[in-house]
Amino acid sequence: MFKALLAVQWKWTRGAALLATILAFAIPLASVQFSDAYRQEAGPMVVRMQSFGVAYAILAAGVGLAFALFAWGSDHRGRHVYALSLPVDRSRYAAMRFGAGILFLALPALGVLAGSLVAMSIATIPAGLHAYPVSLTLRFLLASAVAFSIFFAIAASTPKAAGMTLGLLASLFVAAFLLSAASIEFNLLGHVADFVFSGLGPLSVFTGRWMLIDA
Amino acid sequence: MRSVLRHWVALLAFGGTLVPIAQVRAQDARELERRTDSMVSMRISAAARLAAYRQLPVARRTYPDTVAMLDGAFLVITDHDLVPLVRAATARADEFVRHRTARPSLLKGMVLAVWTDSTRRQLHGLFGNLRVNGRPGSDEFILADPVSLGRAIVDRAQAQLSGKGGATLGHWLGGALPVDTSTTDDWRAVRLDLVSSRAKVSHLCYAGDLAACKVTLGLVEAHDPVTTWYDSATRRSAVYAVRRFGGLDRWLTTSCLAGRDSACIVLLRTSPSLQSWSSAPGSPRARVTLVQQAFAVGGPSALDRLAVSNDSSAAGAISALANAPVDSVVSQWQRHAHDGGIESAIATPVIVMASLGWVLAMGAISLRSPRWR
Repeated sequence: MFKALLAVQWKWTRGAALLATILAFAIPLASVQFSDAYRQEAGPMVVRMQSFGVAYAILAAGVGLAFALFAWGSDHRGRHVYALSLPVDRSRYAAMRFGAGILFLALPALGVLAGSLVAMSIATIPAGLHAYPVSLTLRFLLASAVAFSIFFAIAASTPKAAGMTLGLLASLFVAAFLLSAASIEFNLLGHVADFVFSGLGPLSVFTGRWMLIDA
Repeated sequence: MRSVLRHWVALLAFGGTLVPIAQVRAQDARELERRTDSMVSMRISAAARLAAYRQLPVARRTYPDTVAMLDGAFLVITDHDLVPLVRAATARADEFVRHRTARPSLLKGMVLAVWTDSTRRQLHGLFGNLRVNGRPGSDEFILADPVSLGRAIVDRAQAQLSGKGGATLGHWLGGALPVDTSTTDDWRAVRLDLVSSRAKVSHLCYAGDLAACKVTLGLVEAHDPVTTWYDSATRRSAVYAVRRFGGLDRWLTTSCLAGRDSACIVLLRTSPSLQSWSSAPGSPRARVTLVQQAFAVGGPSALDRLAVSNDSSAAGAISALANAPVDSVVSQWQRHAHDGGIESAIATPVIVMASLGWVLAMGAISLRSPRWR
């Protein structure tokens, strides 16, 4: 059954997967396109790598979002009639959709790896700098998997659960406003952002270094 | 006649209405001026009172609590509410200072007064005022956490213990002696500083030339850096960058930008705005990592050796800290700068584990959704 589901989900996702793979292949190549004057200089190269780091993170987030929406889109449109007609329980069905989506994420990640390897072969890496194609690919895969799983969970949830999530977010902002109005020195949003984006936070993989070539 | 009179009466009446309006306006303006003056004088007097409050001699304050560290050699006096913070900070500082000196008794007479007020509290800060043998210093702002306060205590203790050698080293470093060790990020940053420098000598240092490393770090003076460190294109680009606002000689600048390298050399040697091109190209971070390396090599009691060192140069101070020839320390530093931190910072185990954890958690949440939508 998983094979059949994989094939159906691939049909819905393949357009986005193909586009994402091409973009993933192109970003590392674009990042090493230097004018000759700067080809040998470490400083400009690192600056350029830093500026391209954002592109990997955005692509990973976009891939996660698109693959998650495509995984559930058809079911939502058909009011889950197809899924209900299958002789499997809901959790097993969701697990197969999840697994299929995760498998498809390997394609853009392979695009990053191939693009990075080609970029390394055509670029002159200045002395003192090193290329990290495998680490970059791994990070891209992890980031896209995190984005996919978050959006997949949101798409799979009931309207009530989605409403509660939105309500929680809104109540955070309201609480921060009330604390500020009451002159209470507590940076609630700052603490939340710290948790989300740093250390072990869910979106920490999107921050920090995304550099194909670094010191 | 009557109508003329009527006109005059009307005119007078109109004029009569204008007078109070003008009066009111004048009063308004005067009142506003008076109130503005009053506010300005209140502001001036408040600022003066605040300045006087801040300049109150530390001795006049009363500090109900004293926390002793280093066998009572170093005292921290403070208020009741800050005692837990001070205790946590002194515990950290005590252990650290003991590692760097075998003679903490030399700190006898040092008293750090720590207090805060409502304005500093809002900034999560403290005042620190170090008294040495009863003489108060100036108030300094310290963040109100054990790490920052502990570091402030260590900085003051190190400055006192390291003597003249410490002052030389502090001047060379452009700051206090480091209290931590180099991380892989530090070495990666130093490597990037070396390889992205415009000065050839830094590249030679990266390649393993120890003499070049000593020049890069400013341990040895270079002979004519303008011609030995830079090629003509770099010299010209240096002049080009400050051609408008650098106060350069116009004729020499024109000649230099037209391709006459000798004019660029003269400008780089003589213009104050281009003087930094003759300074040692090593970054402050590179110097800090060298001192950290020296502390790591030297082990315990490094500050004691620094205090009794007869060599007044930065190289001598490094050698004293490390208890080893400076060449040996620079050699180890170069190896770390060349190879340290060459591992991926992109996908660390923490990032990998955290991401996998969140993927599994979100996957589990997706499976547990109670019903079809």
